[in-house]
Formats: sequence, structure tokens, C-alpha cells
Amino acid sequence: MANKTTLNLGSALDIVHVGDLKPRLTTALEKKPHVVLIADKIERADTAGVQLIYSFMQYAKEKDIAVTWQKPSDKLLETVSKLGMSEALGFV
Amino acid sequence: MEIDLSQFHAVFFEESFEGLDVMEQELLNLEEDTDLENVNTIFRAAHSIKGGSATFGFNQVAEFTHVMETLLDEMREGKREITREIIDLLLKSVDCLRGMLNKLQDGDDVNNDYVELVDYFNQLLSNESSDDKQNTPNQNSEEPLSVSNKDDDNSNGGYSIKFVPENYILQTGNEPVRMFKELEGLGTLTVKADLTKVPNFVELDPELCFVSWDMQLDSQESEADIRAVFEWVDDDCLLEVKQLNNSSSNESEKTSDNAKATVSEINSEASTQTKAQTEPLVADSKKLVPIKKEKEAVKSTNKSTSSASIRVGIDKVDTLIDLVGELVITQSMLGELGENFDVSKLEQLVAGLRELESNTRELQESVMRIRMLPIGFVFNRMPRMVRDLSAQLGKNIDLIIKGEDTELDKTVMEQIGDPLTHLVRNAIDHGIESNQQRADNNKQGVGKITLDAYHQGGNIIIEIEDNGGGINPDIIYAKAVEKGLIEEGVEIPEEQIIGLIMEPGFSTAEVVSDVSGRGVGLDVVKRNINNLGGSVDISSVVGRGTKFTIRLPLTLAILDGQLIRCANEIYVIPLASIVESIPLAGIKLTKIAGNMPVYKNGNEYIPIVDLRDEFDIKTEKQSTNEGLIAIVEGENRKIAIKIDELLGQQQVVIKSLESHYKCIQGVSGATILGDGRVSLILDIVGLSRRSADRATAVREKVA
Repeated sequence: MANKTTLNLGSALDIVHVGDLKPRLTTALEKKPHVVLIADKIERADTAGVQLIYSFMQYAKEKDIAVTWQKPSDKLLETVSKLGMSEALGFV
Repeated sequence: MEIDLSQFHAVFFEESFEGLDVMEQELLNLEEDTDLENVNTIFRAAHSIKGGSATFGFNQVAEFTHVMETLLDEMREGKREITREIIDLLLKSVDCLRGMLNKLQDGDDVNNDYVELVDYFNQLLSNESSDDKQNTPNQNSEEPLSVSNKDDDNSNGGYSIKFVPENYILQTGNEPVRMFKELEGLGTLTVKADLTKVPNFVELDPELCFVSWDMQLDSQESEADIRAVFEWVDDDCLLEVKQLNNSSSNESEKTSDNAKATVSEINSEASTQTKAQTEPLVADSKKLVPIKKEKEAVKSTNKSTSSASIRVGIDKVDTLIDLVGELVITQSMLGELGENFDVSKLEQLVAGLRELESNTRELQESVMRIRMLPIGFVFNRMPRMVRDLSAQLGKNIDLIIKGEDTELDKTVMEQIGDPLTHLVRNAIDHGIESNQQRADNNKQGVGKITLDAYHQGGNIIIEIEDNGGGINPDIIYAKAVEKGLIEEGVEIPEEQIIGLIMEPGFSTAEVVSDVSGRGVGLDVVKRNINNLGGSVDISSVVGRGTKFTIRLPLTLAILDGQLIRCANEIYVIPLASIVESIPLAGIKLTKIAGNMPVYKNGNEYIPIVDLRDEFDIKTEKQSTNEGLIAIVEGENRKIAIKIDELLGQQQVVIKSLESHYKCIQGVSGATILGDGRVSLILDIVGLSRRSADRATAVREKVA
């Protein structure tokens, strides 16, 4: 509990929500050296959402902050796989 | 959670029907002028329908339009000659597509009627491909049809696809995930994302796309099918599709013009086609399985998509917004005035109220304008009909359309379509003479039917004119005598004699044809137009032609009315029906046929209708010299309504009496006046009948 920040991605990781999500991700990076993305509720995901998470993970890596997934939903895994980004997002 | 696509069905159907109208129109234009731009327009319309139907899972429509598109593609590339047979086939296809879309819209299954047409196309296209094969055996004849050629086309090993979208692509609603899913439907797909262009998180605009993709698709489908997946983003991406197996080129190098099968040839062949040829269509389970799912979805949402909609120009909406803004300003100004009111501000109040009245009237007019659509929507269905019927009857007829931008209320337009169609059919069948007759009568040129529309006052005038043989009043007169409509020897003005052809059961056609002339029709036309508050006049010159003039109100929702008072009641008379009003004091009334009062105006006797008697208004009997009569006309019949006072003229909003109370002869509806009172709107034709019936009843009672 002490050294990590959890961030719940909610039910939609899509273009409608990326605008709101980006500042939340930025804030999460400012706090703790370990960010956990809770993704069990994701029912909708698209390129914009996945691209944002990828960019976030790259940025976190630069800052030496670990990012891990918690229970990624099937929908998220399916979308990431369709986009050919499973490896980039650490699902493989 | 997936987006529920069924919510877009209504728009898809609306646009598809518009597309079909465009296709039909351009196909007809193509007959006169084989302009490449016409073919392009038809192709684009077919392409949009194909794309939309594929998106929504209406795969049969998509398959059919794909086949059409192949033929159209050959036409626009100049590889296929545009013949009347081809145009006939495409027009039939438009009809077929319309039928399919109608069924889908109603939530019904699309039956396999279209398969027959697909076979025609197959025959037409494959005849030439097979000829090509014979001529150039090494050339791979790329399939023209996705439907039937899959089994034959085994030469493709797979494709490498590079997809680099413009960064705004996500904002346009085009989602790569969806496209890749579609690609997966065509074969085995491997996707690799190129993430090198994705910017640093801080700089990333999350709504832009910086990812591009390299894919490999193991598929037997054609390159065209693969490109079709990206058709919505054609201009918004860099797309490279390369065939991995280079042994065969995927360029569409089919065709030469050496096998020009005509539709008639195909027709005869089609009947002897083996069932196997049609089987791929029905048996292709890969294609059909998703359709079933969609059909269920369509059925479940069927009711919600049936509501009508209209498209409104942005300028009309902007005007409305401006007016509402003005109204709000006036309202706030009056509100402020009300809070700190004293007598010195009376003038300001009056000015404010005047402003409010002006705003309200403008707003009302603007709102009514939203429902106005160009009459071209109705006129545009005529060219096809004229083409088909004139061919059926062997007559050369030109159709000239004018004033198609003239606007009228959507409801009026929906109801005028059938009467108008009937009048045009009538003109083709009976108006225009046969080619032989025209030659015998030394008439120059081809038969001509002119449709025209224009505004006149608060009405729209629609004219249907032909340069045919005209109507001979002597024949009509003889027929009317034979049918007992008039007595022999009675003198009737010529225009009234000609008007008899619109009476029930009156057909002078010597041959009852398939087209018209069954003795029903023109009376129905007249009744329908009258029901819309309009009228129809006929003028005709023997040997030179006939003109039907339809006069319709622009809208059925608002009426220009004259308010009148009779005893304590206020009625509305449609302003357009008032001929004149005369004070009773200055005229002499006579009585005929027992006790019926009439007013002699020149040579005609106009029956006088007293609303007190008609509507049983309880009041003291007034002197015969008080008040005035308003002479009104409907369906060429005049009556004089006895009234106490003419009040103001105003536009009234018509409310149905039938739905709120019941139908009353002589009353067409009701309206609410400024003081909150309900006032009945008089129906002149009904009132005239009602008073005649009452007079007859009184006479019989006396007798």
C-alpha cells in the first residue's frame, strides 16, 4: 500500500475519455514509484486509449517508475492484441 | 461494450433511398448523354450503399451492390459500352435494391429475388472474362464478383498491408480496431504496430493517432476486397497492399468488348442456368451467418426506426436560432418593464408588445419553413415512369420538368405524389397520341409532357401539360348524356363539360389499358386534391393538348382566415375561398324551389346559407336587411353565407376537430383565437352540401 499508486481506468478506455485520463495519469506519476493500473472493468477500449497507456508506460519507464496491470479485462486484451500492441503494453 | 449500430439504421436507410433516387435519375440521364460524370455519380451512390450496408451487416445488399459496382466500374473505365439493355438491367437493380432495403427497414427477411439479377450480372461479366481467358490463357482473370468467384480464385497466397493513418483519423470516428476486425474476417491476420512516432507522454495529444501498422493477411480474397475495408479512410491514410505471391498480378485486367451479351440473351440463358451457379450465394455460410444476427437486431429495433425525419438546411436552423435569440431579448425587455412599470412607460410597453408579435410571427413562419421541401422529391419519380410507360406503349415522349425547387409542406407533398403520378400516367396513356396518330395528324416533333410548379400567393400551383390530342368536349358531353349525368340539350359551358371527366366512374377511354383508363382514377385524384384543401382545373384544346392545373395550400397546418361573426359565434372562413362580400341592405333576395333563398348575381343564382339554421344557433331572429353576405367558392360551386359582421383577417393554426370531438359536415377544423375562444373553421364545400341536403329535407317535409 505504501509505495504504490493505484489508478482505476474505469469501464472505458477510449477517445471519449482520454482527455480526462491523461491528467490523472500525470498525477499518478508524480506520487509514487509504482503505479498499478486497475483494468478489470474495461468494457470499451480503442486506439486512442491504448496509445495513451503505451505513451504513459514509456514515460514512466524513463522516470524509473514501474507500471503494472491489475486484472486487465478480456476486452482490453482483445483490443490491444488486435492493434498488435500486446508486447508493447506488457501483456506478452 | 459495442456501439449499438441499429441506432444509425434510420439514417442509413434514408441516405440509401436518396442514393437510389440519384442512381435512377442519373441512369435516365445516361440514356440521353453518356457523360462519364453520370457514371461516376451512379458508381459513388452504389459505393456508398455498399459501404453502409456492409457496415451495418446487411450483407446481401452489400453483395448485390458489389456486383453492380463491378459492372459500373467497367462502364466508367470505358471498357463496357453503355447500351439500353445495360441501363435496363441497372434500373431493375435499383428497383431490386429498393425492395431489399424496404424489407430490411421493415425488419423482414430479404428473399432471394436478387439472386436472379446477380446471375444476370454474373453472366454478363463472366462471359467476357471467359472470353478473355481464351484469348490470353496466362492472364489471371481477377474475379469481378465476390459472390461466385471465390472458389475459382486460388492464386492469391497472401498480402502485406501497410496502413499509416493521418493523425486525425480517430477524431473522424474511424477506428483501426474495427478495420482490423474486418480484415480478420477475410483471412488470418498478423498485426504489428509501429510505435516509433508516438510522442512523449507530456507532448501527446491523446486524440491524435501516431501509430501505424504493418500487417500480413493470409487470404484468398481479392485486393479490392481488402482495400474495401479501408474505403472510408481512403483519403485519410497511406495504404499499401502488396500481394506476397507474385505469380499473378492482381490488377484488374479483365475485359474487352468482344462479348456483348444483351440482357435479353441473358434472360433466356438465366432460365436454363444450373442451380449450382446460384448456390455459392445461398450456401456461403461464412457470409450468411453474421447476417442472421443482424436481421434479429433489425427486427428488434424495427419500430424505433420507422419514424419519419426530414433534413433541414443549416440556413433555416440558423434563422430559427437568431429569431429565438430576438424573442428572448424582447421577453427580457418586457419582463424588466413589467417589474418597474408606470404609466410613463406605456409607449415602451406597446412597442415591446409589437416587437413580440413580430418576433412570434417570424418564428412561426420560420418553423413552418422547416417542413418545406422542394417538390423535386415528387417530380423526380416521373422520368423513370415516363421512360418505362412510353416504351411500353410505343410512344416517343419527352418529359420537361420545371420549378422542381418550389417548396411545399412535407405532408402536402407526401399526399400529392399519387395524384400527380396518376395525372402523368393519364397524360402518357390518353393525352399523347400514338406515333402513328401524330403522323396522321401532321403533328411535328415528339410527344411532350411538361411538369411545372410555382408559388402563387399562399398556394403552390402544379401544372401537368401535354401536347397530345386534347379532350373533345363533344365526346364528353355525349358520354355524360349516356351515363345520365346531364340531360341532352342542356347548355353547359365548355370548361364545365371537360371538368366532367373528373366525376366518379367517368372514363372515355375506348380501350381500358394496363396504364390507366379503368374508369377510376381522375375522380380519386380530384377527391384527394380537394381533401388537401386544393382544387384542380382542366383546360384543353382539341388537337393541341391538355393542361391540368392543381392549386394546393403551401401547408396544412396554418390557414389564412377571415373571422366572421354570426350571432355570438365567431367562425373562420378560408380567405382564399372568399369571392366578395355584400351588405344585405343593398341587395334583393329571391326564393326558388319552395323556400330556398338565393342571391341573383348576374346570370347565376347563388344559394344563401344561414349559419344560424345550419348550426342551430339559438338567437333572436334578425331583420333581413341587417348584416351582409359573403360569397364563397369551393369546387366551382358558390354559396353566399349570411353573416352579422366581418371581423379581422388572421392566420389560424388548424386543429383537428375529428380527433378532439367528431367530424361535422361543413366544418374542416377548429382554431383557438387570441382571447382563448374556440372558433370553427368552415369547410365551404361541405357547408354547401350540408345546406343543400337540409333544403332538400325541408322541401320533402313540406311536400
